[in-house]
Amino acid sequence: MNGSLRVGGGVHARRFGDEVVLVDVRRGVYFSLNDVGSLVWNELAAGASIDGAIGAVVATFLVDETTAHADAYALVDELVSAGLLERADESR
Amino acid sequence: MIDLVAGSVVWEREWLVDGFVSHRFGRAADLVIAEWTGVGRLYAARDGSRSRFEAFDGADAGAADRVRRFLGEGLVRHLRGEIALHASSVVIGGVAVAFVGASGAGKSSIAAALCRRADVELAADDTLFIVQDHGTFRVVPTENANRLDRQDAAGLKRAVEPVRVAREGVPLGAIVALVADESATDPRLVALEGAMRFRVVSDALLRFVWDDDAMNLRDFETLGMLASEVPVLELRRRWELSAIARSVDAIVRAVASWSDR
Repeated sequence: MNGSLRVGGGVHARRFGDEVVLVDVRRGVYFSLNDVGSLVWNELAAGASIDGAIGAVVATFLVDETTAHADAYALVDELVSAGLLERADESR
Repeated sequence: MIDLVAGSVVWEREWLVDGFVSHRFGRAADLVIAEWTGVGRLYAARDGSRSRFEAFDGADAGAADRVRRFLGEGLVRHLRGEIALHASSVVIGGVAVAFVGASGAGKSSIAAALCRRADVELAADDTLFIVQDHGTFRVVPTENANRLDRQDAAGLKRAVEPVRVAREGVPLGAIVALVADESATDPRLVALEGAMRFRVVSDALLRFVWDDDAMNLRDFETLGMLASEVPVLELRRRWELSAIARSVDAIVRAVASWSDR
């Protein structure tokens, strides 16, 4: 899985310092991300690939690439499951 | 008179207490409906117009009046685009401080204890209305007396005395989340940062519509502004009487330090 991703329909984000809060306005549900998750979100929302987001995490935090890789892919799976991210090859 | 066909209400969310429904939200035709078991029903259009509260036959008049004036009014204000929080609030030195937290966290007790001071006024006991005024968040005083129930009053081991009541909308200076923490040797008041600020505010929001995209986006933006512009703090304390008195001191000291800046 390394297809491009896009922000889910009806999903909006707001930054609070280094952290991001998301809302899915279709359900009125809020989600908050920690600083690492927020960096991954910001990179992906700006159009970066997952590998690009992992590179940003490794460059910003004291974490090895293997750990960052596993964590980032796990986060993306959660965000997709929650409808906050959509895979570009999926129909809306 | 609300014209509803019996059985036409679709209940969408309900809350249980000891296995029984305490209140529930639903809709019928173009109206949203909130019902408090044994007390009454609130009806309103989605824009907050045509609101009406009907007490059930045999309902306690005081309880019905309280639901109508606070929870009901808060829900209608939310429909109209304002903010209503499940919170108590006092005014200290011209600045309002709101207290939020889970049921039983001590919102009313802290407010009542603060109001024993001559320089503190009560603004809200349970439901806080907030309006935006030229970029400033202001509280709308709603109370004319402390309303601690008998159990709370017994916990304080003294009668709840009449208090000074805030009369004008005053700027909201801080939102304080109350957290019971038996490991806290002294009450600790700390500033929250990041997403936690938003979580504290959003958890206290009164609302009864979840499926309206525009309303959900409006809430997100308004709560985001509130959480960004008004300091959000956390007060950790033990659940004991002495901690309430020391909490009062900590809060008053914190407000005085803001005023000195």
